[in-house]
Amino acid sequence: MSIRLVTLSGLLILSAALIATLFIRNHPAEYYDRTEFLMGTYLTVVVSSENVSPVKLAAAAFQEIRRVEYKYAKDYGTEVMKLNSAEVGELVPVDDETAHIIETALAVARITDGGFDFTLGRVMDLWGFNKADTEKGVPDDDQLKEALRSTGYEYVRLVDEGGWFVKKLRDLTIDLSAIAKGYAVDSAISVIRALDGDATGYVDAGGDIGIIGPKYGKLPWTIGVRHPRSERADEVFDVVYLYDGAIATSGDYENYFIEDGMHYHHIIDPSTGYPAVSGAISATIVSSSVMLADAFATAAVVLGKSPGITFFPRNGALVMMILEDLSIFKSEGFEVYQTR
Amino acid sequence: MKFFRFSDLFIILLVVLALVLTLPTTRAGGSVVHVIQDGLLVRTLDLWVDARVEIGEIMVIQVEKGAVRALVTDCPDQVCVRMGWISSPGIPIICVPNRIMIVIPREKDSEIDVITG
Repeated sequence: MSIRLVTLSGLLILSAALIATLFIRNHPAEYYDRTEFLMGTYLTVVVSSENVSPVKLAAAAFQEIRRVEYKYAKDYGTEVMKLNSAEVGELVPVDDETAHIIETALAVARITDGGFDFTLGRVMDLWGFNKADTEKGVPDDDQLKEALRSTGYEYVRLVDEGGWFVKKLRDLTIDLSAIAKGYAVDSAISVIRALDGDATGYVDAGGDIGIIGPKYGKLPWTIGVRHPRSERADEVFDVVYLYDGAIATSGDYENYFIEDGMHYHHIIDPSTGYPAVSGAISATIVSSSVMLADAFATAAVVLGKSPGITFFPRNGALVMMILEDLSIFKSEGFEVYQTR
Repeated sequence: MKFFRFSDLFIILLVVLALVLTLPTTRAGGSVVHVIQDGLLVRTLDLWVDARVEIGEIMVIQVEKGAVRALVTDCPDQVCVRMGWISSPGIPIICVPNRIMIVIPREKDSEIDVITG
């Protein structure tokens, strides 16, 4: 065989190989994304499907999120208004969905010994943390103590297998907006899966993320945990890989104000009415649903590295906490999610 | 027999084409930044031209050396200003009260898909 022929064949094989890598590298699935501002945060749906238009899937997801918002929003949620206008001891009928959300909220409150409490609405109002566009400030201590007296998840009960809601404290108000945000994401993912069980992607609600399906159907999603003390929004402290399930992070850096040189953040300790001082500045939870991950993340910042945190894994919530000195505390097994 | 013939040019062209197609042509970090308000793209800025850009009367965005941040905003919570700079694609700065998202669009797969926190 002549040198010429060898050279030419070599070049042909090389080009064929290079072009072949194009097809291997360019995955067939293209991701469609859409962001909207709902439920007091931004929501991004990133989705791909080979069977249904991803535009249609995202639209269905947002429709479901809006439905949940109108039912459980703090100020105008139809279901929340109904529950908060109930008299002490009055049995208020609730549907299965509301019962499920309240049951979950009560369960997390009990597991975390009140670290997560959905009856703090009046306290949050005094701090101004309930809405993004309200002025924030340290409330009067007497007012705070007064508001704190009308809080406590233990004054809320579901009776007759969850069909009825009853409260045992006159001024108690419930705020399901935080837990409903997680629920809305989980529910939107269910809607997408019902339309196409093979759809992949994720839904991100302000950093609380639920996975629809693995990236390109086979790879984990690479999720960066935000550095709690960085001056850059895109600086990542650690990385978590998820094929499915959910992840959420709470931290003292997300929403805060400074008054007289003091830093006041939005994660209120239900036992004191003041911002939590637990030593944890950020808590990331990996769980089966965004609703659970989000509620446990809030509780973890309140509890810090206290013994209570050891109950999280047996309830399906693995935690990674960043402490004040930027050291890390992880539940046993968390590292499973940190290798590809 | 000549070693090089005119028809070989096609093979050489094919090789060049394959190289051009497969060599990475874009930086993972894009070269522009999108300012999206209420789902609408209201500004596209060059990341490599230092500038301060006013969005309505509600926000001033600063671009410097391939990074961008919300410099001033009129809302009380100031979350977007505190978020600081971004230079990685796909990780947005968000102002919830003004419904603004500042993001460097992804041009290809980046190291981090999404951020929690």
